[in-house]
Amino acid sequence: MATMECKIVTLGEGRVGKTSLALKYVKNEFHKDEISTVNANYLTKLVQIPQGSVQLNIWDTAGQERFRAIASNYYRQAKGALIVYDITDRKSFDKVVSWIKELKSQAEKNIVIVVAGNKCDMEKERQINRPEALEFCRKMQIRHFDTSAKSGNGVEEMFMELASQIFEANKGELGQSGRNSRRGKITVEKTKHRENSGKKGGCC
Amino acid sequence: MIKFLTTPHSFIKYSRSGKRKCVSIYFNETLQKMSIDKPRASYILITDIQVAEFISISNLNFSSFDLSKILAFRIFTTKKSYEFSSDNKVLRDEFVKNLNTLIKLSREYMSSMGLKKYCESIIHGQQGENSLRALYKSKHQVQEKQVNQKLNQDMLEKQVIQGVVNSIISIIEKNSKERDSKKFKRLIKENTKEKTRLNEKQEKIKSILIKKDQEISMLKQKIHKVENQIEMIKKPLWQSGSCIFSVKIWTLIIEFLSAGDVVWMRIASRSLRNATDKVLHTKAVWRKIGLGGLQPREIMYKLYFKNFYNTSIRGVFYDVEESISAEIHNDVWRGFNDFNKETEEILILLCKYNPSLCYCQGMHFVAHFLYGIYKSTDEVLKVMDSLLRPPFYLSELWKDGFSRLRLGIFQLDFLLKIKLPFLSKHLKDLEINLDMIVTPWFLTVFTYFKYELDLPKDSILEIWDHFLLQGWPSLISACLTIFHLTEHLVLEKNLEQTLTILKNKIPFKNLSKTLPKFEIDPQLLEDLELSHVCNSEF
Repeated sequence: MATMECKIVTLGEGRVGKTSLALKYVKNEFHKDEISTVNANYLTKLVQIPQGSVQLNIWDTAGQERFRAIASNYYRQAKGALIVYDITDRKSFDKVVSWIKELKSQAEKNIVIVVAGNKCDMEKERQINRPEALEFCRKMQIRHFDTSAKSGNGVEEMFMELASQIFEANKGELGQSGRNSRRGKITVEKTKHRENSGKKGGCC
Repeated sequence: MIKFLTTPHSFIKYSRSGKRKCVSIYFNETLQKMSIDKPRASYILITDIQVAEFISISNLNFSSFDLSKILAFRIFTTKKSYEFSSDNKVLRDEFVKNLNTLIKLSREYMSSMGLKKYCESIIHGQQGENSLRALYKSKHQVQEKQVNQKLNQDMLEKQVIQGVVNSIISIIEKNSKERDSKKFKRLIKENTKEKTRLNEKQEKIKSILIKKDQEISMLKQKIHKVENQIEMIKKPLWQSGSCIFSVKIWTLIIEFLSAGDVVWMRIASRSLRNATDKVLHTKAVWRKIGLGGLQPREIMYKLYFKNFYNTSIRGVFYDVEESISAEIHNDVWRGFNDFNKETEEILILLCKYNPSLCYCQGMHFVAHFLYGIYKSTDEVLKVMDSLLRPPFYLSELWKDGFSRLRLGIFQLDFLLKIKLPFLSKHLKDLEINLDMIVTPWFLTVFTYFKYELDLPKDSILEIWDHFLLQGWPSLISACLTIFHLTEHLVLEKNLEQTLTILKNKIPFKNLSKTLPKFEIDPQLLEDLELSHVCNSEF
């Protein structure tokens, strides 16, 4: 079975738990006071889904507003995006809308987006109603998950869903990676690199 | 006589079954026949015994038939034997008693033969008795002899056993004594060894003590000398009230002073301060002090900033937006274990004095790091304020849009291609943009290593030494140095490994040695800056 490598970015406002979610999923670790991310962290995990296996390269970005200026570097070739908001913080939910807009206009066309309402272990302090969030996501045709990096609720399911959706969306590419050389300079180099490493034969 | 015999005499007859019956015995008148009858029974039973039938009558002498003397007798006939005893109860009892004792004695001392002989001796008179006695005596003697022999044997055995036991006891005692003595000997040996050891140690310690004493006295002498010198130096200064030494001499002196001494000197008097400041203003000299590894660095940094950079804070400050202060609060209170409050205060004040610079993540690392060195919010504020300006350009680095960051990455990219072409190619092949790696390095001025990786502070301080001296160019050279150090680890690794090595496993050991090698001409960087500005404009 072929392994698909794909890049995922975590987006969202500061302190909503992007790093915690990624860490929980990849290393099963949780720190109450995760230090703030400057620019980006990189994590990776191999996921087995029924159709095949997907290697998720997770780029965990900084949440601060001003880093948005350089965030485009990260979602440039991303096949999946995880937009996180804090269910106890209305402002962070509002940011989700702008992120989705930005991704739809700037990122790859077939990018898979998933929204996560994090910190669902703090149900008492909830500010965003669940129906409201679900309704919003349904309109946008995006899957919504309730997650908690603290307890691990919904984290596994969310990444699995993301992986399988990405697999579905990029199924065509997997078999014939050589054809997509039009996409840009970097992909050409990528295929070259693969050839060098001896995975695929054939001419360029 | 016949009349006596024919009259009945009462006796007691013993039947076979041991029953006793009173009977009367008498002879008929012809003395041919003896009758035994039972007169007291209801019927009279008469047993007649023909005299011819008599075989013997024991102990019954018819010639002197004295009834009172007859104790018991037996009549043996051809057909039967009859046993009788005296009718007189007292006599009979005595007889039985004697008989019993006799039987008892016989059983104890004589065999059945002896008894028989004894009885015969009684029957045959004095002679027999004597012979029996002799027999008895002899037997007794033999027995005694046997007993004596046995006793002797026993005694002998006892003696032998005693002898053996005594010998064994003596052997055991000997053995135990020997063992004890051996043990004692061993103990004594060990003790003597220990003694010698301890003595040696004592001597060693004594010698060490003597040496130490000597050292102490030496040091004291040195201190005295130094004090004398200081007084010598002081005197003319106090006297004249102005600087006597020329700058040249001061430079010579300062090179040999620690940072702490310099501080002390500056406090001493105004003229002295002026003199030191004059010297310190020539950076070349400072560099010798700063990079010579003088400790403690904290004081050095303090001195450095007081001397070289304008650390006065402008009086005007502006309000900070609530969202920014909340952001600062959030960032500072997660991640750090100490100085949270002070760091927050510093950052908010910094934003107040520099309204154009909003808070940027990364600043809190620097503020926290500097507070760890200066331990005073006021000083950190001053230092950070001066760090914002050239030649450090931190305000451009942190300002919205990250113009300095982009410039830095551009410069670094250019230099990497020239200086480390293999690494540059490797990163390109893996589609790693430099900004992914370098951004946190720049934005936190390398302090991020301390918090993310628990790197020893010294390595970061070394980078900071250069940063304080050279400003912006040193950051580029520090990046190049780190890339150089990791190059051999990273090459031929895949994306994930490369990124983890560049993030977590940088070998900082050789940092101080390799840093000077990658010093970059500031002129080159300026040229690059120009070309970058041109590129971005078009």
